[in-house]
Amino acid sequence: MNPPPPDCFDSLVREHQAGLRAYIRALGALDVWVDDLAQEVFLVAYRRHAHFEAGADFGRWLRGIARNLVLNERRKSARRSRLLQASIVDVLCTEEENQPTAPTPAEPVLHAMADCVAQLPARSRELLQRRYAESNDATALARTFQLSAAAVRQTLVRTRSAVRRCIEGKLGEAWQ
Amino acid sequence: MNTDRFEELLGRLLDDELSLAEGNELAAALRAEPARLRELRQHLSLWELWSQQQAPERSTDAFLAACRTRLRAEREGENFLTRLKERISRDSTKSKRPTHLAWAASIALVIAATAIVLWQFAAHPSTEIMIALQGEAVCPACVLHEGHEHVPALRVRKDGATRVYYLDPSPALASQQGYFCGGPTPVKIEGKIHRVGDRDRLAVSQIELPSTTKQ
Repeated sequence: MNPPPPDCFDSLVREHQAGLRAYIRALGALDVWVDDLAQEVFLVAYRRHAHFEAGADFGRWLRGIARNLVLNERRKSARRSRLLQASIVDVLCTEEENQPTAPTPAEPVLHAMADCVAQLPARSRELLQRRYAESNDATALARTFQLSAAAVRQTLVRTRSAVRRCIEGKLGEAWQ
Repeated sequence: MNTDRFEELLGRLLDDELSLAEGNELAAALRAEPARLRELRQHLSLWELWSQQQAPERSTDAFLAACRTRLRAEREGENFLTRLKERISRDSTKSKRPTHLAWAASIALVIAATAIVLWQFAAHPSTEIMIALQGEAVCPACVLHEGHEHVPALRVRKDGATRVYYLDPSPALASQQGYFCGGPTPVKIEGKIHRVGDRDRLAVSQIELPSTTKQ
């Protein structure tokens, strides 16, 4: 079977990349390695496209590849792993095996998230902006906001929890 | 585990600051309390999605560009091997010819090519030449601790001297930032060197990172 044409590959990547990256992170990938692992999943899918059954759930197939990739990575005793520490990854992967998660509905979640973040105090919004858009760590944020690193961490914790509860309130069961 | 402690450890995990002991403590709590585990999974997915949307280097376009680059590297790698095999088999069929003639032709070709390159370089000393460098992928912030700018860079150590080349930004490279932040990692890069201020910069035309060459 011929490999999928480039246009088809592009549209599949566009459609599935956001949810797949979120899935890989929830399996215990370190944040800086999520994209790398997700790209590997698409490369494996491209190579093995002949194994994909027409009409089957492509997203589910990708998540299966991702799970195998993470489990293989977990088994390796690499000096520099792309995953969170083993005890956490084991819990996350076991849970995923016992109770597979439904794919995260990226669009509605991001929509709700934008609303929830907009309701935050300006300083918390700016903190999130600098943490995620500029990839600053707590130490750098502490300098910017003239706070202690511990205070930044605590504010981030509270802000994230508030946003999660807000999203849960907006989406309810759609996000369980 | 009480809520404050859980949230503290959760925050540390999300910011990649969890110690081994804290990780084990959190794992034990997650095993005992399914609600905490569910909350952790939600946070991981949620802030991953947010990061994709907020950080330009993690956008859909940047991710797609990186996938295409890796796919191309893989495909060209296969073509390269095929071409090499063809060439070897072609050369073996020519092996009945007198070898001294082939040697003479090869030497003449090398001398001519060297002369052309030297002449061009002498005529245009500022011309940027494509070079291949082997070194380590590093991030000036994470690995070299030279500030807070997370960008890709190449560290080359040779004859006791160390040189750092800062790579010109591109969406494809931005999406590979993990390699550089997780460095020092072996890497081979082809590109053209130019200088901006006091920094050597490299316009990358080809990059070989471990995962683009494996499998």
